[in-house]
Amino acid sequence: MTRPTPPWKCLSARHAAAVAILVAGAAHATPAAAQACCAGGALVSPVRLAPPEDYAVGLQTRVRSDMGLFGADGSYSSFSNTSTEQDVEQDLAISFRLARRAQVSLVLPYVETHRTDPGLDEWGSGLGDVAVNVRYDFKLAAEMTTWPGFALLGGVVFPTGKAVGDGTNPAATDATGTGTYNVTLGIDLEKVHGPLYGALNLWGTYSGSNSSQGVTTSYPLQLTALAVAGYVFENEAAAALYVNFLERGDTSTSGGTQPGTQPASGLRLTTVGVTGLFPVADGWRLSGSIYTDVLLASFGRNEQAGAGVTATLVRAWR
Amino acid sequence: MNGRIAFRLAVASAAILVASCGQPAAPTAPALVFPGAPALTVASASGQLNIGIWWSPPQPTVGYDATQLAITDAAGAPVTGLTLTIVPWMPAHGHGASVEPTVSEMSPGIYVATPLDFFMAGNWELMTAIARPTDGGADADGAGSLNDSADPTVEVP
Repeated sequence: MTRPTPPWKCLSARHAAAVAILVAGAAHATPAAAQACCAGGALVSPVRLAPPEDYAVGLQTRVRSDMGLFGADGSYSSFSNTSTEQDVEQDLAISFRLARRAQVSLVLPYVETHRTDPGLDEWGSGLGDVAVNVRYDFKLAAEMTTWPGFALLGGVVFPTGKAVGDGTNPAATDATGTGTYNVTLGIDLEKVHGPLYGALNLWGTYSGSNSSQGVTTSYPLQLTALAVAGYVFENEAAAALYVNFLERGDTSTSGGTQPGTQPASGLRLTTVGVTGLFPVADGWRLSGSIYTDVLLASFGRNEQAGAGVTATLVRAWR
Repeated sequence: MNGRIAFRLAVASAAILVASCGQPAAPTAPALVFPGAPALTVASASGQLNIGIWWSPPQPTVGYDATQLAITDAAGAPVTGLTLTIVPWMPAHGHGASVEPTVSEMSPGIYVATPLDFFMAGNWELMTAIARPTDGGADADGAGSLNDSADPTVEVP
């Protein structure tokens, strides 16, 4: 149930893309769960509950290294050798089934950032922005023969992390959050055919304005699309390819004194990856993913670009 | 078996957390040398001031940088005695920096701000408030109060 986190400090879109698939979460360990109808959904959202499950707990670790930068005009350039950035995160995710078709999850992230510049090698860490997500399945993919399954997705991200400007580290590595609320609403379309699984997620994220250092920033609606194509094997493992695309228009600032004179401030990031999961024992599953942002001009804007890996261990109960 | 896997994952996570607790150090201070012609010239929001801008290093990099602003009036005369407040800002991400620069007038109409804490690559804006408070009348040199601004930008690779 963890979906992309809306814009946050300098983590914004790159983390959002990672969270989207970071880890395949919740296949469950019975033969029935090995079918794409049940296990496939776990390829989209970590710790998402399969139909027979009532609650689950997952611990997720992810590591990402940035390699370059998308400029305001969409051009891509690699970093110089003198500066680097690595992002590490551990998430504790808990999911509960509220009703037969409704589930809710809570995600507690712990964020660590490492930056190096000439004369500087700095780590910082802290609690990130806590997220609560809900999912309501109007029609499960397994219930549909022709049309895809349909679910409504919602979420709120709370500014529990430390925003840039509230921290003290010179490289802002102790900034762990956006400094504002984010509200997300979206849909999930899923289709299964034997062992094959496909999904298309579309959602919009509204971010509240945030104020820092006398400047108030307002954000337009952020749109995200995620497409997944996967296969569920006989041994109950599953694998999938995915592509995630994020787009947000220009921000507006009060305190900025010459509106219209600055370069475009909108965000864009396109990410592709491979994700998979493997049941390690009854009620336990291990999953992971490898992803990279598309390092080509026009596939990003105003974002650092990189690659990363994720790993998650999930325990689910019926 | 399951318990061991969970335990090992927890230990690995704890190790990462411990490794992340290092003490931050300050980046290398930028050299305050601004040779040649300005990197760019902008007009203030009111249009009454012209501002020539130099960077140090000439191509700003991630870390601590500095800027020099040469502020002149419409006649090209240096404008002295100004109070500049500069906030480095990333408009796309909605945040500034952890370290506030100090601004000094090094010579008539020449102002230097350091450090500019460009802690990550991207498009940075210098939100610059320009003021000259007076008691309501003209100063000894005949200059009155002034309240203006400018927002030059720079791409940090």
